[in-house]
Amino acid sequence: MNQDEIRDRLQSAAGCELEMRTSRGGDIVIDLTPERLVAAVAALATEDGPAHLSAITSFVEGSDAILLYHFWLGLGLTLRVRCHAGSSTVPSLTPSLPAADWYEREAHDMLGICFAGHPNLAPLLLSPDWPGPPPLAGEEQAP
Amino acid sequence: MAEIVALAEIVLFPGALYLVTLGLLLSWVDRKATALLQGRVGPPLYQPLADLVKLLGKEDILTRGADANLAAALPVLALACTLTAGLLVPVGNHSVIAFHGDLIVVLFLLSLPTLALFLAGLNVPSVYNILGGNRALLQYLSFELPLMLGIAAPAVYARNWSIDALMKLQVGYHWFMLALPLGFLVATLGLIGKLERLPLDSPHAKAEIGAGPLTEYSGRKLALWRLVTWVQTVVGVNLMVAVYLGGADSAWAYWGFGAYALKVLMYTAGLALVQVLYARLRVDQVADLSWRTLVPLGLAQLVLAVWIGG
Amino acid sequence: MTRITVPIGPQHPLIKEPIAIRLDVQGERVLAAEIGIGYVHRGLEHLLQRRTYAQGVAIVERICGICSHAHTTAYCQCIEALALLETPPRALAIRTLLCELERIHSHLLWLGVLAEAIGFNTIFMYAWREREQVLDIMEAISGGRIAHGVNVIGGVREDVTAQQARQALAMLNALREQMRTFVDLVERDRSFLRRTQGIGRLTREDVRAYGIVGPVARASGATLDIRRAAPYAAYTWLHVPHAVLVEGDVLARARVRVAEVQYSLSLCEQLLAALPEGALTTRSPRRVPEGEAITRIEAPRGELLYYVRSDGSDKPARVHARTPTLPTLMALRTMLPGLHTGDVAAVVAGADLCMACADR
Repeated sequence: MNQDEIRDRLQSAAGCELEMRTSRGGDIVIDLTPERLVAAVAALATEDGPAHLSAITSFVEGSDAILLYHFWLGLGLTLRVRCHAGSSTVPSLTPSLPAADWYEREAHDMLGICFAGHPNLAPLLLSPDWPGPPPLAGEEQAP
Repeated sequence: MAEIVALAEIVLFPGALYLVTLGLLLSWVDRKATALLQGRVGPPLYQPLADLVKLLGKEDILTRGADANLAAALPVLALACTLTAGLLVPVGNHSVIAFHGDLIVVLFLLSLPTLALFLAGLNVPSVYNILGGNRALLQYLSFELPLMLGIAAPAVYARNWSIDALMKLQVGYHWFMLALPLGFLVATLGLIGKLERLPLDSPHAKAEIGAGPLTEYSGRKLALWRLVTWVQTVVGVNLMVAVYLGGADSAWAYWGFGAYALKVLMYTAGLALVQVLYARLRVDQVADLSWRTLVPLGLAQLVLAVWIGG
Repeated sequence: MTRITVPIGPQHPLIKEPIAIRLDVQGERVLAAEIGIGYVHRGLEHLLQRRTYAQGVAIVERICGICSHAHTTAYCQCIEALALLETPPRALAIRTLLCELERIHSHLLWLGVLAEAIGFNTIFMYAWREREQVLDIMEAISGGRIAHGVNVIGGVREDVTAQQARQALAMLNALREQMRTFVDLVERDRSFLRRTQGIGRLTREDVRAYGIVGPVARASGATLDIRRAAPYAAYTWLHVPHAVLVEGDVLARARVRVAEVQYSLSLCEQLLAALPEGALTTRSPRRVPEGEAITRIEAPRGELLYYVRSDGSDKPARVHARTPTLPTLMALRTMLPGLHTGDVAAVVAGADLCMACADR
């Protein structure tokens, strides 16, 4: 797939114009709202199967959480989703893309993001009796 | 006087002490040969003894829910059966007890420790023990018959059920291994399976079920079970050497013992070679091997032995 | 027949690193499997935010023992992209050389582990003995067998002298001879085939669904190899052959990895024969300009992705590593049910899991 095809597919799935940037390291980055995520990922599927999801990165920016969905489609594509503070729920990709399963659980562990529709959002890396706030949510004091 | 000699024979040589010492020695030969074949150095001569002594000093814990009396009695029973069988098998050209039909008694006595192992496995309510116990039972059902068929072949061939007589009939290099190669093969594989050696060690396949039936055992009990395995190996090897390889192939006592010792060492090295060459057989492949290959071959050999023997 | 739960792990002779596999077993058949990880989670991504970029190299190196160089390569590459650094060609070549040496020793380690799991101890001993040759080469170059400390941001810290290159070439030649044993093993050895053929099948659809990468994916017909798809370091001028099979069973994975060792031997020889002249590093700034960068490299187990976000200070705002074992672990839940209990060892060992990588 090339850049134009990706943009066409995503724009028709999202139903609006999308801005494409290139990050250092070569990935194309596209911003999406959480509601459009599942449809956008479905639009990236080919007859070979679903798009190859490499990873889901999550971090906090200010009071919002940012989710980056890294895909490899012959070139690197990152879908960027912002969850505003107070409503940290994002639709889960797992029902349509099993590869997202543990990445979403890890984001839930590390930042406390909830993925609506995930079959099993149990702790993946943290122990079940983890006492504190999610480790990477930026809530505790730096040592 | 005769009683004292008999007691010395039973306890010292060629009885219990000798069998245990030879058990340790053959264990070392096995490990050293395996190591050299794998490009390693291997353990020093005293290693099996050191392992035994160390185990004897370890704490003996038993899982809750296991019958303590059964757990204590089974290895002792197994060791007793094995040592008794050892008294019937010639060392050099002399066995402590010999009588007509002792071949059958030896096979019977050797089958009891395997049953004891299966019971020891089921005695402990731990997953690995139970799975291991089940596999030990399957292994028992798979390899007793080939071993018996294989060992019976020379007896059928020579129309004689006394081990001593069978050994003496082979004097002059008329080894039964040459006349009955199929039986030798079947008996050897049966022995490997019975001793749970690689490639037929699925009851205690480390990567699958820990230590199998002996998983939760420790200390003295485990030391005894180790000893059972070693002495069983000795008795099995002695039996094969006597019945198939001519034993002490001479009327002269010392030269005969030398011949017997050499054969024992070579057979043990042969077992080590088989251990090194193959991957482990999966437990259903083990049953396959036994019932589809070994038993038919063993039966064929028996038929052949009846036909060409006399 | 009753159903029992067989726990494999967190401590079990089969697994080298802690993982909890709960098998639902009836007789000798696995009905269901549950996987739990996190036993060696050390919070390294959290730690990396509190150390400088340079200190981060040493931390990232210790995420995993067998693919330590892959991690530092990806991390340094990411920061070099962020800081717009031009890594010198000699450094790229040495980096790549160690990447390929690491691939060889990782695959040989895995071969030994698989052999031991199916009771073939001889191959375990042979494979690990050959692996020592590769570790000796890496020790001669860097001083370390596992955590080499060769990568720095901007290049490499250790050079390969002409004599080291000659010695390495001789050792690699000897290793190439020894590989014949392992090729024979995976092509012809009947006892090995009997325990690995047709076992633990993964289809191409499974690979796509779980995003599986590396030799496991290439044994099921997928062709993704980052060295070819998005060349980095010296792969921009090296030709990398790849091994792809379609059977998708444990045997196919073994064959793919043995082939990859042979290809890696060629790549190492090409690199050693013609190392570019020049500097070993380029100057890297203490404070990295603001921004974010993503790199992918082909670690021994597959696609390793690093994301680094900088806020202009001397410490990263976020470092995220997605290690290639994670998708394989997810797929393990579908690979295990239906297996004979005796085959679980072959499948788990054959999947080449690295829990330290997965847990970070």
